Order: sequence, then C-alpha cells, then structure tokens
Amino acid sequence: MTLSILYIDDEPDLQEIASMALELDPEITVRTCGSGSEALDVLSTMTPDLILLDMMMPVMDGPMTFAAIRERFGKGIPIVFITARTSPEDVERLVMSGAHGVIPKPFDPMKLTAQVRSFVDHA
Amino acid sequence: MIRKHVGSRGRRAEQWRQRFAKIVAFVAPLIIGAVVILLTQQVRTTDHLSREKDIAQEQRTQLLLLLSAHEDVETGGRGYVITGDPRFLEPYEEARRQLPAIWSSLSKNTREQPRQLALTRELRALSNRKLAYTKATIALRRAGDIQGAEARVRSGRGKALMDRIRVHISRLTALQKVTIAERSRNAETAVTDLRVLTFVLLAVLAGLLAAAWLALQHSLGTRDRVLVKLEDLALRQKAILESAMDGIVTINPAGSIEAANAATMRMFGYDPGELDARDFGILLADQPPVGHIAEELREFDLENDSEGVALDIVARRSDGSEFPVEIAITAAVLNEGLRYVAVIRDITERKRVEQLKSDFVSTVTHELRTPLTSIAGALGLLEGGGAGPLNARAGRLVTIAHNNADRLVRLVNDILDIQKIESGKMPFHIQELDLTAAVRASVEENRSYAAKFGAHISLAAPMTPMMVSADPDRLAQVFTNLLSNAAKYSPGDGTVRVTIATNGPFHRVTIADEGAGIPEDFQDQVFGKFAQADSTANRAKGGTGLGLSIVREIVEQFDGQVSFESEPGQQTRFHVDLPALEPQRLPRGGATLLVCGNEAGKALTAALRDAGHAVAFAENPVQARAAVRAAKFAGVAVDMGLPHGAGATIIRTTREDTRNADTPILAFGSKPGDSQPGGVACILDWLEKPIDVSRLTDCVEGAILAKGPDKLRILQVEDDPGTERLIAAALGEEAEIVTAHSVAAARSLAGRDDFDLAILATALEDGNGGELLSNLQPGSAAPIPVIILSAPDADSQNADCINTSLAGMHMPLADLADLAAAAGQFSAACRERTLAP
Repeated sequence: MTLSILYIDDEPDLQEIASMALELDPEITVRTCGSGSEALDVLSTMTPDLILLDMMMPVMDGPMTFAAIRERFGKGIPIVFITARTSPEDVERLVMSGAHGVIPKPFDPMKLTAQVRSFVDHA
Repeated sequence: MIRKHVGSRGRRAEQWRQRFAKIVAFVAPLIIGAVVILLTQQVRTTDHLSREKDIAQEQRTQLLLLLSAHEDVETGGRGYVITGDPRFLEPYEEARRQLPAIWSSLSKNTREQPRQLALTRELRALSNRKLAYTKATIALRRAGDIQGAEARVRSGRGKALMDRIRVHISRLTALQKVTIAERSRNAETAVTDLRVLTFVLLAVLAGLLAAAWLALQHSLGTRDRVLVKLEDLALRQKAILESAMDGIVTINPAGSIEAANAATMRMFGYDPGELDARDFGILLADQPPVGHIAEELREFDLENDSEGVALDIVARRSDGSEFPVEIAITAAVLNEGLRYVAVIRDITERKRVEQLKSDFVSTVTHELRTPLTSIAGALGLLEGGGAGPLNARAGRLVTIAHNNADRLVRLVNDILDIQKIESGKMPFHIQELDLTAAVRASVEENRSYAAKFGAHISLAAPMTPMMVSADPDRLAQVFTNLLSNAAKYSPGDGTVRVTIATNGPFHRVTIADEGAGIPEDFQDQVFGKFAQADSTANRAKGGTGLGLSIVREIVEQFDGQVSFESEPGQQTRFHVDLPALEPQRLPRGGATLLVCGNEAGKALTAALRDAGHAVAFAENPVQARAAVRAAKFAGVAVDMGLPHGAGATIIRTTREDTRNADTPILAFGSKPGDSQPGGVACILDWLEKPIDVSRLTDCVEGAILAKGPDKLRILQVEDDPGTERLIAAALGEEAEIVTAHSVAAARSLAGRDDFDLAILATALEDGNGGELLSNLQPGSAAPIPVIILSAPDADSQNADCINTSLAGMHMPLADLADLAAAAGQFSAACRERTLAP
C-alpha cells in the first residue's frame, strides 16, 4: 500500500534523516516542511496519509500547528507527534488533545516505517 | 496595610482622649475659681442685705426718737405755758439737745434716697418751725405774758405743726418699709441667681471631671491592652528567634554580643548565656582582635548603609572547628541606642551541594567528552574517506552525524567552560598582548565559518599595536563567540563589521552585524545561560546558548566589560572594552632562530649568537607571539621553565601561526634563576583533546617523509582506547605504532627500543606522559620528536611536568646550541622532502 507522509520539523538534518529512513520503504513518499505555516500551505495542495509533527519549533510550535491543521483541515488526517518529551503525562496530554500517537526522540530510523504503518493501520 | 490603618485610628482616638484630659485639667481650676468668686459674691450680697436691714431699723428708731422728742417738746412747752412750772421744760430742753444727733443720723441714712431725702428735709423744716414756735411761746410765758402764750397754745398752730410732723414721720416710716422690702427682694433675687449659676458651674465641673475620669479609665485600659500585646509580641518574637534555623545575634556598637538565640548556641557549640558580653569576633575563624568588630561596624555605619551582607565568611565553633557562614547585618536604632542584628546562616550544606553539583557537571561532561572524541574522530575519518569512499547517501549521513557530534562537543565544552569559570577553576594565563593582532587572527579564523552563513567579515583596525592584559586563548574564544554569533544572525550576504578603537581608558572592539536585532523584551537576558531569543533557533544555527554568558565571564576576568546596542530590524553591535596598556616595543629583525626563556634562554641566545646565528629573543608569550607573527623562523627554542605554562602557550602559538606551523621547536628545561639549561625535547606539536585528526596526520607526515623508505616507528603512550583506535586508524598504515598504556610501561619500552616519534598523552593513570621526555634522549643524538596530546586546560601543569623532567638533565650550552641549529637544518630537510615528490 502506498503512503504519503508529511514530516514537519524545523531541523534540516532530522528532515533528511527521517526522509531517508521512511523512503527505505519504496511505497512511502515523504514531503518535508520546516515550519507550521509552511505545512499549512502544503496541506492545501495535498492530503497526506499521516502527518509527523515535531513538538519544539520556533514561532508555531507542535501543538499550535496541530490546532491550526485541525481547525482548517478537520480531523481526517492522523497526526503523530515526534518529541523528546515522553513522560506518561506528556503523552497522555497529546493523545487527549486528539493526536494519534507519539514517537519518542531519538527515534530508531530502521523502525520508523513500521511505526508509521502501524499508526496508519490503526487510524 | 489594614492592620496599620486600624492601628492609626486607635492611636488617633487615644490622642483625642489625652487632649481632652488636658483640656479638663486646664478648665477645671477656672471653673472652681469662678465658683469661688460667685460664692464670695453671694456672701457679700447677703451681708449687704442684712446691713440694709440694720440701717432701716436704725432709721426707724431715729424716726421714733424724733417723734418722741417732738412730743416731749410739745408736751413740755404746753405744760410750762399752762403751769409755769419750769420742771416741764426739762423734757423740752432734753429733746432739743437730742435733736441734732437724731437729724445727723437720719440724714446720713437717707442720703441716697431722694424721696426720703425730700421728706426728711420737709420734716426738718417742720421741726424747725415747730421748735421755733414752741420756743417763742415759752419765751412769751417766761416774759410773763401768760395770755399771749396760752393764746398761742390754744390757737392750735403748734398742734397742727405737730400733726404734720407726725404725718411726715409715718410717711417716712412707710417709705422706709417699701425700700427695705424692695432691697431685700433684689438681694434675694441676686442670691438665687448666684446660687443657680454656682450649681450650673458645679454641675459642669462634675460632668467634666466624670468625662475626664472616663477618658483616663479608657486610656488606662488601652494601656493595659497595649502592654499585654507588647508582652505577647515579645513572647512571639522570642519564640520565632528561638525556633529560627539561622543564628540571630544582637551586637552593641562596641562589638560585644548582647543576645544570641538558641540556633547560635547550637551552631557554635556554646551553652546558653556563655556568649553574653563576649566580642563578636570569637565567632569568626580569623579571630580578629577585640575592637576590630566595633571598627568594622562603625565603618558599616559610616557608609550610611543600614544593611550589609557578608558572604563566605569562615566561622569558628567553641571547639575550634571551622565552617562557612553567610552573615547579614542590619543596623537598628532602638530607644536604648544603636544596635546591630546579625543573622548567621550555616552554609556548609549548601557549599557541599554546590561542590557536588559542580563535581557532577564536571565529571559528566568530562566523561561525555571521551566517547564523543571517539565518535567525532570516527565520523571525521569516515567523512574524510579514511575508510574508503562512501556512496552519496552514506556520505550525507556521515556529514550530518559528524556535524552534530561536533555540535555536541561544542556544547559539552561550553558547559565545562561555564562550570570552570563559575567555580573559579578556569586557568587564566593573563599576559600583555596586542589586541589588534588578536582580533585580526580571530577574524581570519572565523572567515570560513561566517561564509557558511553567507556573511562577510570586514575589519577596521589601527596599524599601531593596542596592548591589553588578557589570556590570548580565552580572548580568541571571546571573539570567536561574538563573530560566530554575528555571522549566524546576519542575513544572507550580510557584512559583519569589526572595528577597534580607543575609548577613554579602554580599547574597544566592536562587532556589528546586519541582523534582525535583539527583541527589546529579551535584551535583559542576552548574557544569561541557555539564553536565545528564540529557544529553538539555536538548533538551526548550531549554537549552545552559552556563548555570550561565557564571553561575559571571560571579559570580566580581564577587568573588561561587554555591552551591546541593538536597533531591532537593523543591526546589533557588541562592544568588548578592555583596559588599555601602554604599547611596548618588541625585538624584531632578520633572525633565523627564536629563543624564548628566562636566564637559561638568555645564555642560550648568547651562545647561539657567538656561533654566528641570528637569534631573536622573547621572554614572554606576548613577545614570542609578536615574533612568530612577524617572521618565519628556522627553529624555535622554548624554555619550559617559564612561569604559568607560558612555554606551552608559546609552542601552541608558534604552531598555530601559518608561517611557523612546521618550524621545529626545541623545548628545554630550566631551573628558576639558573642560567644553565637542562635537557631538550623536540616538540612536533601540542594538541588538545579531543584531537584534530587531520592536524595530527599532517604533523606526522613530515616525520614520515624525513624518515625515508623505512616505516616510521611511533611510541604511543595512551590509556584511552578511543584515542588509541583513532590514532591507529589515522596512522596505522604508514607507521608502526607501539602502544604503552602507562608511564611505567612507556619508560621500559623507551629504554629497550628505538623510536622515531612519540605521541604522549598527558593524563595517564600513573602519571603524566610529559615525564617521559627525559627517557626519550638517545645519548648524544637529536632527541626523538614528540607530539603532546594534552588534556584540556592543563597547559600549565603539563609544561611544569615537562620542565621537571628536562631540568634534571644536564646539557652543555654548546651542545644545545648545536641542537638548536641542527633542528633548523632538520626542518629544512623535512620541507625539501615534503616538496620533492
């Protein structure tokens, strides 16, 4: 099954590594964005199967971007946070706010495709 | 706030009560005086009344006497006329004698009453007429004219006169009665009025006294309540004092203790009361003489400062043991005079925790550095093709990994720097240096870094040297931080302008960027730790958020200051101000050799000059730096006995200068004040861990080429497996590496085997690699070239260790001069070979 993923992170190095890791699976295509506002622009031209969203970003952080996407594009696209803050309370708060899940940083690039597929399957 | 308000209202009421009592105290005597006057008045009026009554009585008596006298006159006169008996004239004569006295009495008493006066006058006239008539009648009878006299008696005129007299007297009596009645009525009215007034005044007085009594009673009640409150307050404060964790001591201006709470006793190990009247100085470790504390307190007072805090004071317990405290002193002006309250806090625990924290940070970061060195080294090798060519994707991944490993190394270094500066463990080798040269070098070093952000650095500096006092390495760190910051925040294709100028007693370096400026609300925190206007911006820019904090700490160590001006949206200018020193002339000339050192260095310079060499001499790192920047030398001889690790600084300075990067360096030992140099070592390079692999390979390359076709034999002294593997990977193919993991093992290897080169780590389990230099002297031949791998910030310690190792040996000046000259030739040979293929 082919999947399109939107990866939102302000750090270019991580964008590159995540893209490479996800594209190890030939059926996955990745689009990367460096900021929340860029993501909103991109989402008006495409509808990915899953959004991977970084928590800490300048100007618009993860939760703000999350709220903006939900407001403008509804609840159709599953959104998974990528964060270094993975205490049970943090995860619970994100899930309660409507996120589909949390991938802790640092992530294992070799397991990323499997994680992403599992989130899409359970969405 | 509320309590204060209530308190003032209560006080105002109390003031009113007191004022009222005062008014009463003033008015009451007045009222009493008035009452006394009124009573006197009353008595006087009553007296007057009774006197009036007496007068009336008297007048009445007089009137009766008058009547009776006239009747006597009438009766006597008539009796005499009828009988001719002279005895009848006796009462007549008697009455006539009495009359003047009666009249005088009457006229006196009726003087003030006009009607009575008029009546009295008429009566008197009648009386006179009557007397005259009777007298005339009596005279007729005496003369013998009995008929005439009797006719006069019978005519009734005498009787008529007598009747009129009677009528007048009865009128006067009636009038008298009326007057008396009127007067007594008036007097009674007056008495009644006075009585009423007296009563009113007495009532007012009673009222006032009652009110005053009430007020007094109330005041006394309030006083009682206040006293109870005060007592409670004192008890409460005592409870607070006694339960306080801090020692609280009251000191008088003479410096002796008046009171000390339980915590003080516990803290200092005294029994209650034992400290009373003792000098405060007995609580301090340095035991100042009696009177010293009083003096300090006086000064404290003179400074017009009501509160002072003394930090990090060492206190002393009764058993003589010492512990750190913080003392806060407050001056209090009490009713009984000036007192000082000292609050003493035992900070042993805090110090311990601070130490733990500092040790922990230091350990963790050091421990982080070791594996990071291996990671960065391994990635560096991979990226540089050390493990063969990588495909594009692998190459890209390795570059990302390498950059991020470098970033982590920077972060760890910055944390270590901050921690070292804060705990006072950062070694600062402060020396005189030329600020323009330092800035120029930093600008050159940072050009390529700035270019990554598309920024260009321009420098405007005067040609004359501007001397300041600073540690050259730390100063370079300051400019690197500021330049990299400016580059990071420059817009693409921006210019970072660096200017150097003299600004009063300071030399000022200004670094201006064309960036977005610093947001106003962030300007206060610019120098804070992990402070970045946008906390996530650092990740994109590769900063640690510690740079400016380090910059400030360092500059303050040089008695300078850092400041900035920012115009949001336009630019930011950072200024570094360092106290200006007088410029110093440095020796220059076409020398081929450079000698840096003390007495031994001077002796060596003289010996070399005698042998015909052109030698420049420098006695400190500033002069040495200026010399190596000014010219390319054939060889540099450095005295490791220079103080504060200056030898190491000179070696690193020389190596970092592009022209002298491959100039052979001879290090020699010396003893202070001794002109005889000790042993010699040939130092190829002095690298700090984590090591720069490319610099290491460049350095060894020259030695490999000089060695010729045989494989270079390297003695590696290293106990960190990561570094060991890194060096093996970098040099293993071209050289034969023999590794010793301890100083002892290296010593035995050096004794047995011949080596072409040694790579010595300084911090080993059983000692310092620098100690081995004396073992690397194969007889009379040139010493084995050495590369020092120094632990960070250990220059001074390592230089001392090397000096100790070399100074123990004896090397004649002539041999040393030969070696120095030979080193020059060796270098020339190296260069030829490097250039030959």
